[in-house]
Amino acid sequence: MTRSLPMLVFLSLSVVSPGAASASDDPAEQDDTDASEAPGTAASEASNESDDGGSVPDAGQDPTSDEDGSHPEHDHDDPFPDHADNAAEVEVIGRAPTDPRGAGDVRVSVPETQAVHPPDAEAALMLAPGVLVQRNGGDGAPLRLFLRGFDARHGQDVAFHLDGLPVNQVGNPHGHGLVDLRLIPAEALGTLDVRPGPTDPSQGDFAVAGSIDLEPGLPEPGLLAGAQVGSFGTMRGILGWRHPDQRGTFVLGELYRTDGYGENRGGLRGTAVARVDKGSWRVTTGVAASDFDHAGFVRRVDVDEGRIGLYDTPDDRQGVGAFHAWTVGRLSGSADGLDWSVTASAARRSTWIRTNFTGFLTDDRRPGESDHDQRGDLLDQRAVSSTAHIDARLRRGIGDPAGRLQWAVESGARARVDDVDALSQRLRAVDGVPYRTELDVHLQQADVGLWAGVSAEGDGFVARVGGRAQAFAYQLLDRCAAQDIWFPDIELDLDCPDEDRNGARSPESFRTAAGLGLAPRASVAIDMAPGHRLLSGAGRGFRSIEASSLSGGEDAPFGDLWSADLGWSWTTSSDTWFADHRLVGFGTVVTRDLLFDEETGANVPAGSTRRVGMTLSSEVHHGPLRAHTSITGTYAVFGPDLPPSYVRTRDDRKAGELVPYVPPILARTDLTWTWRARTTGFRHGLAATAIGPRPLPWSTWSEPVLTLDASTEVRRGAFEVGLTVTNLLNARYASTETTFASWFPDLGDTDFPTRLPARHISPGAPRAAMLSVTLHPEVL
Amino acid sequence: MRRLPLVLLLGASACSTSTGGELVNLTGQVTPVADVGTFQVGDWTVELDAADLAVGPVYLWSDRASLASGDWASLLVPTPVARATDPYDAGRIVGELPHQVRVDLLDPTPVSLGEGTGVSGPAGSAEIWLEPADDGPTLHVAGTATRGPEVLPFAADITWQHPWVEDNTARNAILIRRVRGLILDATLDGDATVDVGVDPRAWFSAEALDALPDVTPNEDGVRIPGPEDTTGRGIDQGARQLVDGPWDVRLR
Repeated sequence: MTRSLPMLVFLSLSVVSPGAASASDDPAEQDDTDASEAPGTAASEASNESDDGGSVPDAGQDPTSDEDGSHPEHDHDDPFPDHADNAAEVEVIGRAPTDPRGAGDVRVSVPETQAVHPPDAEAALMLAPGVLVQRNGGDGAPLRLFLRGFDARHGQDVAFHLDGLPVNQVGNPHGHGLVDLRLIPAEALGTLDVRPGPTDPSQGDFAVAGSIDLEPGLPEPGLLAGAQVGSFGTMRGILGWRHPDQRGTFVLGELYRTDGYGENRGGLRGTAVARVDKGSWRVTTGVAASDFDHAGFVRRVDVDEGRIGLYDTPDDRQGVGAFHAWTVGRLSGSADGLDWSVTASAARRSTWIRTNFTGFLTDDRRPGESDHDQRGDLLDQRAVSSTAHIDARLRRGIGDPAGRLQWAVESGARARVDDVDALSQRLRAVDGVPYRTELDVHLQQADVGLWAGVSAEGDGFVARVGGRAQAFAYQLLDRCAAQDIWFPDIELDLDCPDEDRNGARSPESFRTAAGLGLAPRASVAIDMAPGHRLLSGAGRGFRSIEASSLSGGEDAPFGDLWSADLGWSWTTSSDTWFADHRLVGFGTVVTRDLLFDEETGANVPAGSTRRVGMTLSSEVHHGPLRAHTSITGTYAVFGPDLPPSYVRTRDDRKAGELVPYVPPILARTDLTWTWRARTTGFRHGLAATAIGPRPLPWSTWSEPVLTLDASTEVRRGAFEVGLTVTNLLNARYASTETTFASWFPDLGDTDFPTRLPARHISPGAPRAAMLSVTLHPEVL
Repeated sequence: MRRLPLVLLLGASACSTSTGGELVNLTGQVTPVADVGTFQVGDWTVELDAADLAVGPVYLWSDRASLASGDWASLLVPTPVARATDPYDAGRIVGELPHQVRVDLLDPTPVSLGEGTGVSGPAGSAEIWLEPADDGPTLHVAGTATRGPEVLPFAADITWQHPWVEDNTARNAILIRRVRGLILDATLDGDATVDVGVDPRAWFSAEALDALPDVTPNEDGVRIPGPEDTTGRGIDQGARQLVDGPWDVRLR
């Protein structure tokens, strides 16, 4: 069993079939697993494979779902259950997603991996190797994501799906592809499928650094009620219920409020999600709302010289909030050797963010304006969007099922349409009234992708090759197309003027653009020796571009990427322990990369970038101990073609030099120790995150960061009490760093603007404690 | 796809260990021209009794501004960069001395402009702000202009805001108190001193002084030109003149 495990990791994860074997990653529980059901046996393969030898195509499929969605084996007397009823089939091999393509593809079971409960769904991403999630400005701010050397900012380089729902927000004025994952409470997160690099033909828009699929799931059946109270006035309550037999069917709500760790970081959010999973079909729907203050950045020199506190804000009018309403459904089946699935979703989002990065710098008198002083740079960015998407997939085995090679073809189509109203306005510091419209557009974007591939599986190897055709089409109504217009006798101070040198005009302009691209993708996995497997994948990825930057009628360029990786995995186990290790090297080349520009509050083109790196990850279970550890090293440089517009106006990125802010070394470990008696259990966790010195502009480096989080929980029967302490060492560190020019007259040491880009930081949260009480009445 | 291995190989072989460039420390000083004394402008002999100016802040730009470089063709066909429609655009800020200092231009002793920061690389031009000051007008000049038998005491106070800046000069109003595009053509390759030389003699032109007799003297017999007369306008424009004007910015 042990020796054949690595290869069958992939086979067993790629299928869902009625009566599929259930096994735990706990070696003790594996002892009880009948050999005929264990991965790596002929019986297992037979039970997992469908009749034609193919597997059910994965469109966010929950691989642990029985056909009718039921799972009755939960042990109600077991404190801290292994979530075996939820994730055991995955967890036994734990590290590969349902249909791995790239060498770095990994599936993370959140309940099992987390040493410390993540405060929200975005924080859970840190459990995946090579992923760093940071936040600037408080709990409500958009995430800042790093993956494999990509500074994916607010998510622009990673395609996110929640239960099949596309999460990246097209055309958000704060960042194309912005991601807000706080659509579900962290407790409702089952697994993360992390696929670094575009090696799977099904990966579509935004899959540049990779893609991450979040699968909901509640670990335990019955009622769930919990309350948390902690530092900085933080309070949180959750209330939910999970079907006793259908583990994919649940409802869960969350309310959260906090005063925040410093000035202007308070806020609240509410989230509700309901899911019905009947195996062959499922529907998930949710509503989320949030409203937070936002502290923004502080200048490092102002902090060092005592003009502002590390946790203060230069402008207390900053904030961020969102409404989300979404529904996603999936229908799947198998007939005549054909496995199929259709996923469809609809979402309505309204987001706003008010930030003032630069203070009082950008409001120089412009053409067409009467004389004025700097009125303040507070930027109010809003977007209201509707999104619909459909994703259909097919898979059919071909050839002789009894032959040496198992051939299969797979194909799919994906279409997504977004309708976005986006508005950016500058607000006066004195009264908050808008004084200039920076952007006012109505965007419609269509994203259509067709893909196909063929796979061959033989004795000890799997090879896949395929391709994707990707088209984007844009229709942009610019309602403020005429700006900065001046000529003699024009009326001054017109916002979006309706006249120009040639006379009266409409302030609107309509533009269209479209583009088409092709992406080959391939992967191979070869068993080199018992327990050892070589994996490799390569492909091209796409990202749609910010439509507001398009001029009319052009062949819309893509931001695209070439990626390749090569990895080696080693899995071994015994009666008392289990270990899975993986070493993956990767390389990427990106054309038309995007970087965030604080002056404009949006992404700007930044030419090409290149990255190489390596990730070493390890998962070890030994008795009550479980350790998940990863370390990623990355080398990222700019290509030779930084855009002239960028080079002329910014100096913080240089051709051939390191990409700033990307951590060259990132390490993370999650350790848990679980002890169980019949009705009492203890669970202790320790999570450590280490970020090596990061390159900053002008050959400077940041300080290294080490944070420790710890938790302890005691559960007896239905009652669970826990204490979590984050940033145990109370490290004062910069969660995010960036470089831009800013000047706040009340804070600086000069009477005149500081216009040279300077180092700005947003601090990580100081030490915080959270006490939680959770009830599981079903087990009373 | 076929180019990928080659690109990756090249990427791995040309390792960089920094983000490039470096921060440098700047110090600034304003150096009046020694011994202004008495000077000749056209038919006029001018003797200054007072000439002081509030100078700063000073910013260094990476490039020459199109307007200052005399590259008029680039104004007609702008370089395809952001904000290229601004003829004063000179690339990016590469140094700053964000302070203001009042300088007695008749005293040749250099006056410190404080400390600032810069980044290594080319510094093509400089920008000097002539902002309102707390201790008086931005520019104050007084003296006597003599032409033959005409001996005309004069004094002028200029602060570049209303009425010296008209409200409807929409296009360039902000630039009036910012002397942008002073040619520097230097390279910042380490800590440096920005030396701002000022010659008040360049504030005066023959045309402006020829109109001085038209300015009505006050009860003390001193002519005080303002923004509405030729002499006042002449001093205003002379003080802000880019080429062959009062400014001489150097890096040391």
